[in-house]
Amino acid sequence: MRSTMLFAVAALLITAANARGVDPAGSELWEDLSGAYLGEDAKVTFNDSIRLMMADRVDSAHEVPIMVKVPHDLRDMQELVLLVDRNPIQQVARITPHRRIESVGMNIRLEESTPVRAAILDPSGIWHVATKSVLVMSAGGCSSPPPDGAVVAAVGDVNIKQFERHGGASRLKVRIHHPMDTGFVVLEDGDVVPPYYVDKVRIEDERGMIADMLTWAAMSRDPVITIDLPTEGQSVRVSGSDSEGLSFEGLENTPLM
Amino acid sequence: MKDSRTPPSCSRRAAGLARAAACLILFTTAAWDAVGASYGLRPQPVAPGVYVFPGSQDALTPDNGANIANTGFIVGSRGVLAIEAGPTRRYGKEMLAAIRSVTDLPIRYAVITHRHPDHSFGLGAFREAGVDVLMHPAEAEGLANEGPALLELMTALVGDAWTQGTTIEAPSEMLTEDRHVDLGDRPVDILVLEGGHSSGDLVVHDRTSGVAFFGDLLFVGRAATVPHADIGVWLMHLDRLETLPWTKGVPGHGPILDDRAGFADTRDWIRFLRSRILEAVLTGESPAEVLDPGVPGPFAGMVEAGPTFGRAVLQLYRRYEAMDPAELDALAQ
Repeated sequence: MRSTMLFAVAALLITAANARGVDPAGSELWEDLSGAYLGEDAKVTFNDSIRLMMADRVDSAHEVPIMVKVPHDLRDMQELVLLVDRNPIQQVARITPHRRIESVGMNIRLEESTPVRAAILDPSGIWHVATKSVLVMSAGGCSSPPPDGAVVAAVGDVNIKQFERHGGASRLKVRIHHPMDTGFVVLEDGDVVPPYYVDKVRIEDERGMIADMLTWAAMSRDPVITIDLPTEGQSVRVSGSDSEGLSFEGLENTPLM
Repeated sequence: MKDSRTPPSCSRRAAGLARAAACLILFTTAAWDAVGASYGLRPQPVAPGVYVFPGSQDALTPDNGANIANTGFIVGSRGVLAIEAGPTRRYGKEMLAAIRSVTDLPIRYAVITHRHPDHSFGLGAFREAGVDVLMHPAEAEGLANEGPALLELMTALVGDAWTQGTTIEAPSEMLTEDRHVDLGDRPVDILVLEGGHSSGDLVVHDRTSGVAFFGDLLFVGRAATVPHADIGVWLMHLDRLETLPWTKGVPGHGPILDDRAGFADTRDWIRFLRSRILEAVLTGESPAEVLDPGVPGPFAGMVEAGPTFGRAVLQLYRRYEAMDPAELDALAQ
């Protein structure tokens, strides 16, 4: 009788685990995380062919560069979502491509040691997830003030650079000057720095939309967004808005390097 | 869509601390039995009247109490010159006692080669003992500014049994030009090399024995750190140091050199860092792509290669990325 009960419970647990995949990082947060950001009924498979490039140990948790290489068989992806299990802001960005994109990179905040996820939605509705576990040596990427840095531009200033790559391919590198305040930093006098962050970014060129993105303050201050395209972008334009309603835009002003 | 599902779970730290993290080695919370924490310093003779206290070739750990840098001293007929003060006041005191086990002559000078904690934090013990402590003014300033946050971080790394009583102190004398001192029939040169590894590194050359103490301009068998470095200037300094008439070279970290071949460890590593990161900046590569494959084979065996590479890529990438094309061109020459 008792063993039957145990079996039933075990079967339930296995079913639950299988619904959104068995997390290779073994994070107890995965079930909730994937439910919240990929959907309660999401079909998930962990996919090693997605390369999630980043250092596996991190000293400066305020600015951690990451790069997601999208494999050929997922280049018709519908959406790419970046998630961080152990962040107070778990969702970093949701990117909807309107053209084939070969890779996406950005600099992000990590609060503490955590798995980082890149989830790619294929046209059949399955999420393909890459996972990397990162050791954060100095915690507080979301909740401590970022290191001092020279203020070189006004909030909302956008720099766009394009780099030539093999076979006519191109890399777009966009930097948006913005404090990206998380809302979790408490100053010495007890005041909380309120959240203030870029929440929408659109990247387009003469041929139309390249990608649009929803973003959160788990992106670093002065976020850098990198997108690899199979062909050169023509007169790229980046526009967006932040959580206070400020709109900004930038036009490509640097010739192909 | 939920933005916040778990509360921020870690403590807030001072702004400087985050920056400080980039300079140091490892972050763990350390528990250490305060009883019996001792560096066990024993002077190792390297030439008549010249002694070294070799540092551990390791990260900062509760086992080594941040004793990772080489220190030493030179004995003349009338006095003693110490090189570095070690990472804590406790180390400084033990160093003074260990010098006393060799000679009763007055300790006239302590030369702190640069600001980094593993070399400078013990200087309070030397000031307390009335020793004239020499440092480059830019390094003294850096020590005063960055010292408190770095001390906090070091304490977290190695435990307060080691760092207890350590305070950030100023040197007594600033050195901006080469200086010659006589310890009594023992002429010693103190050379000032600015803007390479740090804003102002000091090198001590004992003409009598031919022993030179290079500070952190030279790392042997260990990956050199670059938080304040200008690699081009540093390489020029290495060229100059190579031509000095020394017969034994004490690096800031690593074994003592009998010949010039050991210069390759530092030179090849910092050249590689410069060219690899410059290439990345010029081609739009992300630091993530530079870091992802790890430390390249030829350098992977060096002590602390992985963590040092991780920090160096971000530090140099940020610096090079902020340069205008003319500056980058000059760098690429």
